[in-house]
Amino acid sequence: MSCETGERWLTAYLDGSIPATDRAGFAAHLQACEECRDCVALWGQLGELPEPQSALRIVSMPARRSWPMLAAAAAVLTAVSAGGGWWIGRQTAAPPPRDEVAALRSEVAGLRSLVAVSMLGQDSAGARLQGISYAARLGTPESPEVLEALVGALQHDENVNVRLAACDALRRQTANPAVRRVLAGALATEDSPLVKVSLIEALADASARESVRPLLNLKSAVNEDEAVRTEAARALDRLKSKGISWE
Amino acid sequence: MIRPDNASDEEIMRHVRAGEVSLVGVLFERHHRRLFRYFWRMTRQVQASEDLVQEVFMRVLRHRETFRDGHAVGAWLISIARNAHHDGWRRKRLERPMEDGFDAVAPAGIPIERRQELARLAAALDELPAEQREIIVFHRYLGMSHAEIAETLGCDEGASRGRLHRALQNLRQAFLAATPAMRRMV
Repeated sequence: MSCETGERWLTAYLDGSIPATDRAGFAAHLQACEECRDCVALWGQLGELPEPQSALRIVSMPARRSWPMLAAAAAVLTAVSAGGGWWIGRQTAAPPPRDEVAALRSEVAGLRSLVAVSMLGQDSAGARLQGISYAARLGTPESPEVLEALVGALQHDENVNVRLAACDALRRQTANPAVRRVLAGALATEDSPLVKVSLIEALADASARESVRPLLNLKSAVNEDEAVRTEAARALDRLKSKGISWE
Repeated sequence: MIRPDNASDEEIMRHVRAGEVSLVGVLFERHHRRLFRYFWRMTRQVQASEDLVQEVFMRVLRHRETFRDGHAVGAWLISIARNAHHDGWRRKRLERPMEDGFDAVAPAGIPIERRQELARLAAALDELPAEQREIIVFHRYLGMSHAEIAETLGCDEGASRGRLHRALQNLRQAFLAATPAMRRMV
Protein backbone atom coordinates (compact mmCIF):
# COMPACT_ATOMS: atom_id res chain seq x y z
CA MET A 1 0.00 0.00 0.00
CA SER A 2 1.32 3.41 -0.92
CA CYS A 3 1.93 6.07 1.69
CA GLU A 4 0.05 9.23 0.65
CA THR A 5 2.32 11.55 2.59
CA GLY A 6 5.32 9.88 0.98
CA GLU A 7 3.80 10.29 -2.46
CA ARG A 8 3.41 13.97 -1.77
CA TRP A 9 6.71 14.80 -0.10
CA LEU A 10 9.25 12.01 -0.40
CA THR A 11 10.85 13.05 -3.71
CA ALA A 12 10.91 16.70 -2.60
CA TYR A 13 12.61 15.58 0.60
CA LEU A 14 15.19 13.61 -1.38
CA ASP A 15 16.17 16.49 -3.68
CA GLY A 16 15.96 19.13 -0.97
CA SER A 17 13.08 21.03 -2.51
CA ILE A 18 10.60 20.34 0.28
CA PRO A 19 9.28 23.68 1.65
CA ALA A 20 10.77 24.72 4.96
CA THR A 21 7.30 24.79 6.46
CA ASP A 22 6.78 21.09 5.69
CA ARG A 23 10.25 19.85 6.60
CA ALA A 24 9.61 19.25 10.27
CA GLY A 25 6.27 17.62 9.54
CA PHE A 26 7.83 15.17 7.08
CA ALA A 27 10.70 14.41 9.50
CA ALA A 28 8.10 13.46 12.08
CA HIS A 29 6.31 11.33 9.48
CA LEU A 30 9.54 9.46 8.78
CA GLN A 31 9.71 8.42 12.43
CA ALA A 32 6.34 6.76 12.10
CA CYS A 33 6.33 5.44 8.50
CA GLU A 34 8.53 2.41 7.83
CA GLU A 35 7.92 2.55 4.08
CA CYS A 36 9.16 6.14 3.69
CA ARG A 37 12.03 5.49 6.11
CA ASP A 38 13.13 2.50 4.04
CA CYS A 39 12.95 4.51 0.82
CA VAL A 40 15.10 7.30 2.26
CA ALA A 41 17.64 4.75 3.53
CA LEU A 42 17.73 2.93 0.19
CA TRP A 43 18.23 6.25 -1.61
CA GLY A 44 21.34 6.78 0.47
CA GLN A 45 22.59 3.23 -0.10
CA LEU A 46 22.24 3.59 -3.86
CA GLY A 47 25.12 6.05 -3.71
CA GLU A 48 27.34 3.31 -2.29
CA LEU A 49 26.90 0.93 -5.20
CA PRO A 50 30.26 0.74 -7.00
CA GLU A 51 30.65 1.25 -10.72
CA PRO A 52 33.48 0.66 -13.19
CA GLN A 53 35.39 3.38 -15.02
CA SER A 54 35.15 3.68 -18.76
CA ALA A 55 38.38 2.84 -20.59
CA LEU A 56 37.43 5.09 -23.51
CA ARG A 57 40.03 7.72 -24.30
CA ILE A 58 40.69 10.17 -27.07
CA VAL A 59 43.75 9.27 -29.07
CA SER A 60 45.42 11.97 -31.16
CA MET A 61 46.29 11.30 -34.77
CA PRO A 62 49.04 12.95 -36.83
CA ALA A 63 48.08 14.95 -39.90
CA ARG A 64 47.34 13.10 -43.12
CA ARG A 65 46.57 14.36 -46.61
CA SER A 66 43.10 12.97 -47.12
CA TRP A 67 41.62 13.66 -43.70
CA PRO A 68 40.02 17.01 -44.46
CA MET A 69 38.02 15.24 -47.11
CA LEU A 70 37.14 12.44 -44.72
CA ALA A 71 35.97 15.04 -42.27
CA ALA A 72 33.39 16.08 -44.81
CA ALA A 73 32.01 12.57 -44.71
CA ALA A 74 32.21 12.55 -40.91
CA ALA A 75 30.05 9.51 -40.43
CA VAL A 76 32.20 7.66 -37.96
CA LEU A 77 33.66 8.33 -34.61
CA THR A 78 36.74 9.92 -36.00
CA ALA A 79 37.05 13.66 -36.06
CA VAL A 80 39.76 15.09 -38.19
CA SER A 81 41.12 18.32 -39.56
CA ALA A 82 44.05 19.50 -41.63
CA GLY A 83 46.31 19.58 -38.61
CA GLY A 84 45.49 16.10 -37.35
CA GLY A 85 42.61 14.79 -35.33
CA TRP A 86 41.56 12.17 -32.89
CA TRP A 87 39.68 8.99 -32.52
CA ILE A 88 38.13 7.31 -29.56
CA GLY A 89 39.53 4.01 -28.42
CA ARG A 90 39.92 1.89 -25.35
CA GLN A 91 42.90 2.41 -23.13
CA THR A 92 45.02 -0.71 -22.99
CA ALA A 93 48.18 -1.71 -21.21
CA ALA A 94 51.51 -0.44 -22.57
CA PRO A 95 53.16 -2.81 -25.06
CA PRO A 96 55.98 -5.03 -23.79
CA PRO A 97 59.62 -4.23 -24.72
CA ARG A 98 60.61 -4.86 -28.34
CA ASP A 99 63.02 -7.76 -27.68
CA GLU A 100 60.40 -9.54 -25.62
CA VAL A 101 57.96 -9.20 -28.49
CA ALA A 102 60.52 -10.65 -30.89
CA ALA A 103 61.13 -13.63 -28.67
CA LEU A 104 57.48 -14.36 -28.24
CA ARG A 105 56.31 -13.58 -31.75
CA SER A 106 56.61 -17.03 -33.25
CA GLU A 107 55.12 -18.71 -30.21
CA VAL A 108 52.06 -16.51 -30.01
CA ALA A 109 51.31 -16.08 -33.72
CA GLY A 110 49.09 -19.14 -33.80
CA LEU A 111 47.35 -18.11 -30.62
CA ARG A 112 46.76 -14.60 -31.98
CA SER A 113 45.19 -16.02 -35.11
CA LEU A 114 42.77 -17.95 -32.97
CA VAL A 115 42.05 -14.95 -30.77
CA ALA A 116 41.61 -12.61 -33.73
CA VAL A 117 39.20 -14.94 -35.49
CA SER A 118 37.31 -15.49 -32.28
CA MET A 119 37.08 -11.76 -31.50
CA LEU A 120 35.93 -10.91 -35.01
CA GLY A 121 32.90 -13.07 -34.33
CA GLN A 122 31.88 -11.19 -31.18
CA ASP A 123 28.61 -9.28 -30.78
CA SER A 124 30.33 -6.18 -29.47
CA ALA A 125 31.74 -3.81 -32.09
CA GLY A 126 34.49 -2.93 -29.61
CA ALA A 127 35.58 -6.57 -29.39
CA ARG A 128 35.53 -6.92 -33.17
CA LEU A 129 37.72 -3.82 -33.53
CA GLN A 130 40.12 -5.35 -31.04
CA GLY A 131 40.09 -8.55 -33.10
CA ILE A 132 41.12 -6.62 -36.17
CA SER A 133 43.84 -4.92 -34.19
CA TYR A 134 45.11 -8.39 -33.22
CA ALA A 135 44.91 -9.55 -36.82
CA ALA A 136 46.79 -6.47 -38.03
CA ARG A 137 49.66 -7.32 -35.70
CA LEU A 138 50.04 -10.82 -37.07
CA GLY A 139 52.23 -9.73 -39.97
CA THR A 140 52.24 -11.40 -43.37
CA PRO A 141 51.25 -13.81 -44.61
CA GLU A 142 48.16 -14.09 -42.51
CA SER A 143 46.39 -17.37 -41.98
CA PRO A 144 43.48 -18.13 -44.34
CA GLU A 145 41.13 -18.06 -41.35
CA VAL A 146 42.19 -14.56 -40.36
CA LEU A 147 41.97 -13.30 -43.94
CA GLU A 148 38.53 -14.81 -44.27
CA ALA A 149 37.40 -13.16 -41.03
CA LEU A 150 38.78 -9.78 -42.15
CA VAL A 151 37.04 -10.06 -45.52
CA GLY A 152 33.82 -10.99 -43.74
CA ALA A 153 34.16 -7.94 -41.50
CA LEU A 154 34.78 -5.65 -44.47
CA GLN A 155 31.84 -7.00 -46.43
CA HIS A 156 29.25 -7.59 -43.75
CA ASP A 157 29.99 -5.83 -40.47
CA GLU A 158 27.26 -3.34 -39.59
CA ASN A 159 29.67 -1.06 -37.72
CA VAL A 160 31.46 1.42 -39.96
CA ASN A 161 34.48 1.63 -37.64
CA VAL A 162 34.93 -2.14 -37.89
CA ARG A 163 34.71 -2.08 -41.68
CA LEU A 164 37.20 0.78 -41.79
CA ALA A 165 39.63 -1.11 -39.56
CA ALA A 166 39.19 -4.26 -41.67
CA CYS A 167 40.00 -2.24 -44.80
CA ASP A 168 43.14 -0.87 -43.18
CA ALA A 169 44.22 -4.39 -42.14
CA LEU A 170 43.55 -5.80 -45.62
CA ARG A 171 45.46 -3.07 -47.44
CA ARG A 172 48.64 -4.66 -46.08
CA GLN A 173 47.72 -7.77 -48.05
CA THR A 174 47.20 -6.28 -51.49
CA ALA A 175 50.05 -8.36 -52.91
CA ASN A 176 47.42 -11.11 -52.82
CA PRO A 177 45.21 -10.81 -55.97
CA ALA A 178 42.22 -12.24 -54.10
CA VAL A 179 42.45 -9.42 -51.55
CA ARG A 180 42.60 -6.83 -54.34
CA ARG A 181 39.45 -8.32 -55.88
CA VAL A 182 37.70 -8.19 -52.51
CA LEU A 183 38.63 -4.52 -52.00
CA ALA A 184 37.50 -3.65 -55.53
CA GLY A 185 34.24 -5.55 -55.07
CA ALA A 186 33.56 -3.77 -51.78
CA LEU A 187 33.56 -0.42 -53.61
CA ALA A 188 30.25 -1.38 -55.19
CA THR A 189 28.54 -2.52 -52.01
CA GLU A 190 29.95 -0.19 -49.34
CA ASP A 191 27.60 2.55 -48.05
CA SER A 192 29.96 4.71 -46.02
CA PRO A 193 31.88 7.42 -47.92
CA LEU A 194 34.64 7.16 -45.36
CA VAL A 195 35.20 3.44 -45.99
CA LYS A 196 34.92 3.99 -49.74
CA VAL A 197 37.68 6.58 -49.66
CA SER A 198 39.86 4.22 -47.67
CA LEU A 199 39.19 1.42 -50.18
CA ILE A 200 40.05 3.72 -53.08
CA GLU A 201 43.34 4.77 -51.46
CA ALA A 202 44.24 1.12 -50.82
CA LEU A 203 43.52 0.10 -54.40
CA ALA A 204 45.40 3.06 -55.88
CA ASP A 205 48.40 2.35 -53.65
CA ALA A 206 48.34 -1.26 -54.86
CA SER A 207 48.05 -0.19 -58.53
CA ALA A 208 45.15 -2.59 -58.71
CA ARG A 209 43.92 -3.07 -62.27
CA GLU A 210 40.81 -4.72 -60.80
CA SER A 211 39.70 -1.38 -59.43
CA VAL A 212 39.42 0.45 -62.78
CA ARG A 213 35.81 -0.48 -63.54
CA PRO A 214 34.38 0.28 -60.07
CA LEU A 215 36.42 3.50 -59.92
CA LEU A 216 35.01 4.65 -63.26
CA ASN A 217 31.51 3.86 -61.99
CA LEU A 218 32.10 5.86 -58.80
CA LYS A 219 33.61 8.80 -60.67
CA SER A 220 30.51 9.15 -62.83
CA ALA A 221 27.86 8.27 -60.23
CA VAL A 222 25.60 11.32 -59.91
CA ASN A 223 24.35 10.47 -56.43
CA GLU A 224 27.74 9.59 -55.03
CA ASP A 225 29.35 11.62 -52.25
CA GLU A 226 31.50 14.35 -53.77
CA ALA A 227 34.55 13.40 -51.73
CA VAL A 228 34.28 9.83 -53.03
CA ARG A 229 33.99 10.95 -56.65
CA THR A 230 36.98 13.25 -56.27
CA GLU A 231 39.07 10.50 -54.72
CA ALA A 232 38.01 8.03 -57.44
CA ALA A 233 39.10 10.50 -60.15
CA ARG A 234 42.40 11.05 -58.38
CA ALA A 235 42.97 7.28 -58.08
CA LEU A 236 42.28 6.80 -61.79
CA ASP A 237 44.88 9.47 -62.58
CA ARG A 238 47.36 7.63 -60.40
CA LEU A 239 46.63 4.32 -62.12
CA LYS A 240 47.05 5.92 -65.52
CA SER A 241 50.38 7.43 -64.49
CA LYS A 242 51.51 3.94 -63.54
CA GLY A 243 50.79 2.69 -67.04
CA ILE A 244 47.40 1.09 -66.44
CA SER A 245 45.10 1.91 -69.35
CA TRP A 246 41.43 1.20 -69.97
CA GLU A 247 40.18 3.29 -72.91
CA MET B 1 38.31 30.41 -33.69
CA ILE B 2 36.91 29.58 -30.28
CA ARG B 3 38.86 28.60 -27.20
CA PRO B 4 37.28 25.26 -26.28
CA ASP B 5 38.35 25.45 -22.62
CA ASN B 6 36.24 28.56 -22.07
CA ALA B 7 33.40 27.78 -24.44
CA SER B 8 30.04 26.47 -23.33
CA ASP B 9 28.76 23.13 -24.62
CA GLU B 10 26.21 24.92 -26.74
CA GLU B 11 28.84 27.19 -28.27
CA ILE B 12 31.01 24.20 -29.12
CA MET B 13 28.07 22.34 -30.60
CA ARG B 14 27.23 25.28 -32.83
CA HIS B 15 30.77 25.14 -34.22
CA VAL B 16 30.52 21.36 -34.69
CA ARG B 17 27.28 21.90 -36.57
CA ALA B 18 29.06 24.44 -38.76
CA GLY B 19 31.66 21.85 -39.73
CA GLU B 20 34.39 21.98 -37.07
CA VAL B 21 33.85 18.32 -36.30
CA SER B 22 37.07 17.84 -34.35
CA LEU B 23 35.50 19.93 -31.55
CA VAL B 24 33.29 16.94 -30.78
CA GLY B 25 36.33 15.71 -28.89
CA VAL B 26 35.78 18.49 -26.33
CA LEU B 27 32.19 17.37 -25.81
CA PHE B 28 33.42 13.78 -25.53
CA GLU B 29 35.85 14.75 -22.77
CA ARG B 30 33.09 16.57 -20.88
CA HIS B 31 30.29 14.07 -21.23
CA HIS B 32 31.55 10.54 -21.94
CA ARG B 33 31.83 9.50 -18.29
CA ARG B 34 28.26 10.56 -17.60
CA LEU B 35 27.00 8.71 -20.66
CA PHE B 36 29.01 5.62 -19.72
CA ARG B 37 27.47 5.73 -16.26
CA TYR B 38 23.99 5.89 -17.77
CA PHE B 39 24.63 2.96 -20.11
CA TRP B 40 26.40 0.87 -17.49
CA ARG B 41 23.64 1.38 -14.93
CA MET B 42 21.10 0.39 -17.59
CA THR B 43 22.97 -2.58 -19.09
CA ARG B 44 25.62 -3.64 -16.53
CA GLN B 45 27.82 -4.54 -19.48
CA VAL B 46 31.06 -2.55 -19.64
CA GLN B 47 31.93 -3.26 -23.25
CA ALA B 48 28.39 -2.73 -24.50
CA SER B 49 28.29 0.55 -22.58
CA GLU B 50 31.53 1.74 -24.18
CA ASP B 51 30.20 0.80 -27.59
CA LEU B 52 27.03 2.76 -26.89
CA VAL B 53 29.00 5.82 -25.79
CA GLN B 54 30.84 5.71 -29.10
CA GLU B 55 27.54 5.27 -30.87
CA VAL B 56 26.22 8.45 -29.21
CA PHE B 57 29.11 10.55 -30.50
CA MET B 58 28.85 8.95 -33.91
CA ARG B 59 25.20 10.03 -33.99
CA VAL B 60 26.20 13.51 -32.84
CA LEU B 61 28.47 13.80 -35.87
CA ARG B 62 25.98 12.24 -38.20
CA HIS B 63 23.04 14.33 -37.03
CA ARG B 64 24.89 17.47 -35.96
CA GLU B 65 22.68 19.62 -38.13
CA THR B 66 19.63 18.69 -36.08
CA PHE B 67 21.01 20.41 -32.98
CA ARG B 68 18.87 23.45 -32.23
CA ASP B 69 20.07 26.66 -30.59
CA GLY B 70 18.81 27.08 -27.07
CA HIS B 71 18.82 23.35 -26.32
CA ALA B 72 21.08 22.07 -23.58
CA VAL B 73 23.75 19.80 -25.06
CA GLY B 74 23.71 17.54 -21.99
CA ALA B 75 19.98 16.90 -22.37
CA TRP B 76 20.38 16.41 -26.13
CA LEU B 77 23.10 13.82 -25.53
CA ILE B 78 20.89 11.98 -23.05
CA SER B 79 18.09 11.87 -25.62
CA ILE B 80 20.51 10.42 -28.16
CA ALA B 81 21.75 7.95 -25.54
CA ARG B 82 18.20 6.79 -24.78
CA ASN B 83 17.59 6.17 -28.47
CA ALA B 84 20.88 4.30 -28.84
CA HIS B 85 20.03 2.16 -25.82
CA HIS B 86 16.55 1.50 -27.15
CA ASP B 87 17.94 0.55 -30.56
CA GLY B 88 20.42 -1.76 -28.87
CA TRP B 89 17.52 -3.65 -27.30
CA ARG B 90 15.49 -3.62 -30.48
CA ARG B 91 18.37 -5.19 -32.37
CA LYS B 92 18.67 -7.76 -29.58
CA ARG B 93 22.27 -6.82 -28.86
CA LEU B 94 21.67 -6.15 -25.19
CA GLU B 95 19.64 -9.20 -24.33
CA ARG B 96 22.51 -10.88 -22.58
CA PRO B 97 22.33 -10.99 -18.79
CA MET B 98 23.73 -8.07 -16.85
CA GLU B 99 27.10 -9.72 -16.73
CA ASP B 100 29.23 -7.16 -14.89
CA GLY B 101 27.39 -7.62 -11.61
CA PHE B 102 28.13 -6.21 -8.20
CA ASP B 103 30.98 -8.60 -7.44
CA ALA B 104 32.73 -7.73 -10.69
CA VAL B 105 33.08 -4.07 -9.76
CA ALA B 106 32.93 -3.94 -5.95
CA PRO B 107 36.24 -2.97 -4.36
CA ALA B 108 37.93 -5.36 -1.97
CA GLY B 109 37.75 -4.69 1.73
CA ILE B 110 34.00 -4.26 2.14
CA PRO B 111 32.91 -6.37 5.15
CA ILE B 112 31.16 -9.51 3.96
CA GLU B 113 27.77 -8.70 5.46
CA ARG B 114 27.76 -5.19 4.03
CA ARG B 115 28.90 -6.58 0.71
CA GLN B 116 25.97 -8.99 0.64
CA GLU B 117 23.50 -6.23 1.43
CA LEU B 118 24.82 -3.95 -1.30
CA ALA B 119 24.79 -6.87 -3.73
CA ARG B 120 21.11 -7.43 -2.90
CA LEU B 121 20.38 -3.75 -3.48
CA ALA B 122 22.21 -3.87 -6.83
CA ALA B 123 20.21 -6.96 -7.77
CA ALA B 124 16.96 -5.25 -6.73
CA LEU B 125 17.84 -2.26 -8.95
CA ASP B 126 18.51 -4.64 -11.86
CA GLU B 127 15.12 -6.27 -11.34
CA LEU B 128 13.18 -3.05 -11.85
CA PRO B 129 11.49 -2.46 -15.21
CA ALA B 130 13.85 -0.44 -17.44
CA GLU B 131 11.79 2.76 -17.26
CA GLN B 132 11.80 2.68 -13.44
CA ARG B 133 15.51 1.89 -13.27
CA GLU B 134 16.12 4.71 -15.73
CA ILE B 135 14.42 7.36 -13.64
CA ILE B 136 16.48 6.35 -10.62
CA VAL B 137 19.62 6.47 -12.77
CA PHE B 138 18.67 9.91 -14.08
CA HIS B 139 18.07 11.40 -10.65
CA ARG B 140 20.46 9.49 -8.40
CA TYR B 141 23.43 8.83 -10.68
CA LEU B 142 23.27 11.57 -13.30
CA GLY B 143 22.01 14.28 -10.95
CA MET B 144 19.21 15.34 -13.28
CA SER B 145 16.51 17.52 -11.75
CA HIS B 146 12.85 16.58 -12.14
CA ALA B 147 12.47 19.46 -14.59
CA GLU B 148 15.27 17.97 -16.73
CA ILE B 149 13.84 14.47 -16.43
CA ALA B 150 10.39 15.76 -17.35
CA GLU B 151 11.80 17.40 -20.47
CA THR B 152 13.67 14.25 -21.42
CA LEU B 153 10.69 11.97 -20.88
CA GLY B 154 8.15 14.36 -22.32
CA CYS B 155 6.04 14.58 -19.18
CA ASP B 156 5.50 17.19 -16.48
CA GLU B 157 7.50 17.50 -13.30
CA GLY B 158 4.75 16.01 -11.17
CA ALA B 159 4.67 12.91 -13.33
CA SER B 160 8.45 12.61 -13.00
CA ARG B 161 8.15 12.74 -9.21
CA GLY B 162 5.33 10.20 -9.25
CA ARG B 163 7.36 7.81 -11.39
CA LEU B 164 10.38 8.12 -9.11
CA HIS B 165 8.23 7.45 -6.08
CA ARG B 166 6.78 4.29 -7.64
CA ALA B 167 10.26 3.18 -8.70
CA LEU B 168 11.49 3.59 -5.13
CA GLN B 169 8.57 1.63 -3.73
CA ASN B 170 9.25 -1.21 -6.15
CA LEU B 171 12.95 -1.08 -5.35
CA ARG B 172 12.09 -1.41 -1.69
CA GLN B 173 9.81 -4.36 -2.37
CA ALA B 174 12.45 -6.15 -4.45
CA PHE B 175 15.12 -5.46 -1.85
CA LEU B 176 13.00 -6.66 1.05
CA ALA B 177 12.00 -9.79 -0.84
CA ALA B 178 15.68 -10.70 -1.16
CA THR B 179 16.65 -9.78 2.39
CA PRO B 180 16.42 -12.23 5.30
CA ALA B 181 14.14 -10.74 7.95
CA MET B 182 16.79 -10.75 10.69
CA ARG B 183 19.45 -9.01 8.59
CA ARG B 184 17.71 -6.03 7.09
CA MET B 185 19.91 -3.01 6.86
CA VAL B 186 17.16 -0.43 6.58
